[in-house]
Amino acid sequence: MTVTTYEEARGLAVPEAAAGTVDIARVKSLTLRYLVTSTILLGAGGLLGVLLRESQADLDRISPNLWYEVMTAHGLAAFVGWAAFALMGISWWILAECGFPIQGWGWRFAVACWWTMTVGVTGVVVTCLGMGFAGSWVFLYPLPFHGTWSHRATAIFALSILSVGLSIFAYCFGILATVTGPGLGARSRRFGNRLGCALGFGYIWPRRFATEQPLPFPVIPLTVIAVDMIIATIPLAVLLVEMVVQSIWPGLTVDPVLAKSMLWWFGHPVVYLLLFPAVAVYYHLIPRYAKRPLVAGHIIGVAWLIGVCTNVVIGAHHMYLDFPNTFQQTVNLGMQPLTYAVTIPSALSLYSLSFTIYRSDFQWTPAAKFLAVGMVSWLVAGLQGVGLATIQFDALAHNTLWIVGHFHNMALLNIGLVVFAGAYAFVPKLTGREWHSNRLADWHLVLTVVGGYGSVVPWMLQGLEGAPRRWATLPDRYETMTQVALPFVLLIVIGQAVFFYNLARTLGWRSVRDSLGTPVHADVSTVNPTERPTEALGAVLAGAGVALALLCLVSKPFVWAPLGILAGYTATTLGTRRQGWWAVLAAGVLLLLGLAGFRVPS
Amino acid sequence: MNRLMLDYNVLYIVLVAAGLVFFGAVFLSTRPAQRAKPVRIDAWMGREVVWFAVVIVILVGSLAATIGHTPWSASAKADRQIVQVTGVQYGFKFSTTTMHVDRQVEFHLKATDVNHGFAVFDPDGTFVAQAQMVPGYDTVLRLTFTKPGTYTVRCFEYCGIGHALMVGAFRVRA
Repeated sequence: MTVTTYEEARGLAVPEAAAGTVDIARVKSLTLRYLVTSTILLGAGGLLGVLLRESQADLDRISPNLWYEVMTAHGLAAFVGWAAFALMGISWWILAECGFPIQGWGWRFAVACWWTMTVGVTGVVVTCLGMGFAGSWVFLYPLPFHGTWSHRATAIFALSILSVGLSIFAYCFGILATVTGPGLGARSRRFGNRLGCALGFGYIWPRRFATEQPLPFPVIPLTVIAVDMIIATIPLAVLLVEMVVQSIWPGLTVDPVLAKSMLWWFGHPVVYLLLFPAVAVYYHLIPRYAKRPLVAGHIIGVAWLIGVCTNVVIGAHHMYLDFPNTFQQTVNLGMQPLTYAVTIPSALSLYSLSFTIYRSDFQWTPAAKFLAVGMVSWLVAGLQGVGLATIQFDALAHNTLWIVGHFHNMALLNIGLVVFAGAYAFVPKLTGREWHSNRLADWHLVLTVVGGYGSVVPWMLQGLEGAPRRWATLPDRYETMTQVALPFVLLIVIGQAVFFYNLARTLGWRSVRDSLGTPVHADVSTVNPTERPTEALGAVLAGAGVALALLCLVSKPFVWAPLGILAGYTATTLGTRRQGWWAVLAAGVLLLLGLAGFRVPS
Repeated sequence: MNRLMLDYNVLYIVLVAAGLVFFGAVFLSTRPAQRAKPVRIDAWMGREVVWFAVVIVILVGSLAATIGHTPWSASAKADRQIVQVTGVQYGFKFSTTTMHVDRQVEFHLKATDVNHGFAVFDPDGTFVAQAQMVPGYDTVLRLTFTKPGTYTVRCFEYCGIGHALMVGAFRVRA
């Protein structure tokens, strides 16, 4: 095993205490393990999402039982198994690059985090798709005990979520053990003081929370979420244990409002388990690409102090529509200003990041492009969040597809893009290999963003009309907009396929390389000297485009033909220009035939 | 489409458009011609305090403008009609399904098994209001209908595999 110092890994000046003390290859291996596992879960969770959408669009409708099982598995696999898991892994690497050694208990917790998350997400998928659990990924008590599935399925599901909860604990303790370690350079030995330093209090009270060198900004959001998630996860763990016990002794029950409060006490901060590590990635990478320090002063410390205090108490804003008594109504009223307050770190971070980029010699690498678009989405989805924090608006949008649009906007088009940015930025450092193709990375971005917004906007328009979420079959009036979204869903799929292909080629997955053939020529105009053409992928897409368009002769030509055209057009950009345009032409002809009523006799 | 929902979304689109212009300016400023102009990092750090103040003012203003409008804020009228509604997998049980235009209706929402949602749509399909139905609790939702016709009620909280089938209706007479 190669042992490297932090200086070699970072190329930056680092605190003496952290230098040369850690086996960096071990951290690389662990981070890569997180990234690969979470990417596999992205594929699985993403395909489940496609199945949900196509069924709602009535292409090939699945049974309600299966739809809700898939819905439950999709939510947890994509949200926790992919996005949160990937950002956990990226967190370890960012800390390493910031000069915070992952060692001792920090290392043990990081390893335990991976195992417990893998076990937990696997358990969720098994209980949903194998045992029929369909209580949704928020498993709103007492629904887990009133379904078509067995109490045993509920117990195993609860144990699986408990394992995910243990993973979150391990992550938080690992972060805290690391950020209060020798890399901090704190002058005090007291844990409380060191924790205050890691929370950025030194930017507000520099004498009281003194460190040998300025605290790297990415450490602050990671410490904030570690503190908050420990507090947030404990009640959920209690509820999950109760569910396990209740599955054995059904006479034991919990008050539904109390259970709901315990769920959302965790359920909102867990969103920030994704967002705050994503902010750490922004803080870490944007200054590097701009070649200047983050434009942030002491006020950013104030913002994060507000964040750490409010983030953990605002879960009840998910219960604005629960107002059975004066107490709950008062709590709800308090949630609105507190939820507004948690937007302050985001508002100030966007300011800092924007003016770090402003008039800088910014390196527009693939990772930088993902981050830039992610920042835009952060604003777009963040403003939606402010609206939803407003009781008056939430009373209209709650549990409509507007909400689904909002969180996919935030999770895929802000946080998801940050995950991809992390992959594009760090995989070369973790593997020692440059990305196979920067051009494919650009296509990955374009397809994900166009597909993502094309998928999100129809949800929001449906929500405007009052379309309910979590309905396996939507009322007829909403069906057209679901069908309009389908081609864009395909774009997302193609975008991720491009990413998987690029990643596989980069990591040297020999079987993939062999199956898709040897590159014919190299495009010397691209930045990456290892760039290779992608005719094989293009040919597959062109063929898929024609195949999709042929379905026009079976049903719904206005759905299948655009899918075929998009696949064909994408193929034209991947080195198979002629085949791609033929596919587009074929799809156009088949569309006309389909619209004219021509059908293959069944 | 609900008018208030539309108003919020129009405001949202305006803000997003302003944000896009801002980010466009920031990203375009990295072109060689733009970045040749001097930029003082310290000054932008100092202005962060101003931005912080602006954000606080906007949030406080938004709070003041909206906090009084809640689904539970309608006060009870003397001549109100009281209607008991119970949610049960997968339907709504009404104590009566006949109501009247311009007469306040006080719905008492309950559930017997799991959480349900009580979402009301007017005869044109426009969303009107909603509230949660929680087992063991009585939630009061007061509405005054202005259009006669058949109103649809849909369950807005996932309640099991028959969730999408949980639809009810009541009539509002002129």
